[in-house]
Amino acid sequence: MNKESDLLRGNTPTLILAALSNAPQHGYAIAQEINKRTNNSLKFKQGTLYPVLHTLERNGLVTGGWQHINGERPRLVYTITEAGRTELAGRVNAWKTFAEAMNAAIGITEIGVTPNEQPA
Amino acid sequence: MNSLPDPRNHEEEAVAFDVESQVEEYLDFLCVPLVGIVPYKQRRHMRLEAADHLRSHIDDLQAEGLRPQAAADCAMHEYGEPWKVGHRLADAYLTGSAHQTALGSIDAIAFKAFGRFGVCTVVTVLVLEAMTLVPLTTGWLTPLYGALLLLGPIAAGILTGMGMEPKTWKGVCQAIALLSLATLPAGLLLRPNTEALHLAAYQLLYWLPVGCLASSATASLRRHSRRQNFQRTTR
Repeated sequence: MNKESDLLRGNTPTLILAALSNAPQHGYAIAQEINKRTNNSLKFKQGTLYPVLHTLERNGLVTGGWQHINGERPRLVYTITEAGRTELAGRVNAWKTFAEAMNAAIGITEIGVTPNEQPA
Repeated sequence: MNSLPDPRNHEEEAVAFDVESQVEEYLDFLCVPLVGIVPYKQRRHMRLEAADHLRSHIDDLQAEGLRPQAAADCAMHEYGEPWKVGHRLADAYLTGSAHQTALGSIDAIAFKAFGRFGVCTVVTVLVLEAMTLVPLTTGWLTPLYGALLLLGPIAAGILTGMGMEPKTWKGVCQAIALLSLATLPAGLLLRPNTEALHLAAYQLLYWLPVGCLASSATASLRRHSRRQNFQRTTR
């Protein structure tokens, strides 16, 4: 298990809610949206999005509905709910606080050399 | 005069058929961990959703210039190992369907384990009762009673693990804890007769670890066997 997937695991709901915040989307489009927004820098297995999506749906943060368009495959399209938007706002705030705290703790100037550690 | 069919068309059809059958096989393996846990209708929706994802991804990769086989391999690889995704789907379903009781949250797997270990307990109690009430039967029932005490949890554990649900050991722990809540007070009430107390002690000290081990080992072995089978068929 690499460090990135450890970090990613708890934040997958945030990524999905953020991807859905602009428009309703089906699972594949959500994965594409996350890849586009992150410039393909997050390495995740796309199938792992679905258990999280189903949990979000059960918790009332997203709703899913089958879309049948003539000549196309039926697709389950997810839409963020008001509760989902509130949850996303809370998660974004929590992430900002966490990221600021982490940046302050580890120093963002140069990795491995903080001002206190510089040799005299 | 009829022109001869172009052999390249047959080749393309064969590749398309191969890709389609591989996707279907992938979906079969993805759904294996869901059988017996997720009801058919929801399982079918999960399969359709995964199928749509894979086929959309394959179409996009082919549009980018990949050959059908390479596109299918890439899409399935990026989707993840099917049994892992299936187990995560089953896990997400089980977490959501946990039954809230006065004792707290009890996993759905605990209800299955409760059924199997419950039958084992009932048969053991019946044999014990027969030995107590009809002393003539003691001679041939004693070995049966011993066998039930020793082998019953192994059999129940194996049957529970056959479903390959995640965290089977947790379900077995919860089931035996619930069963002990019945046998322990019964044992205390029936004193000075100590057989029921012995059964309760066996359940907590022997059935619990052995049942957990048997169910977890069976589930792991079955998952391993499925994985090997899948790797063999996709190679």
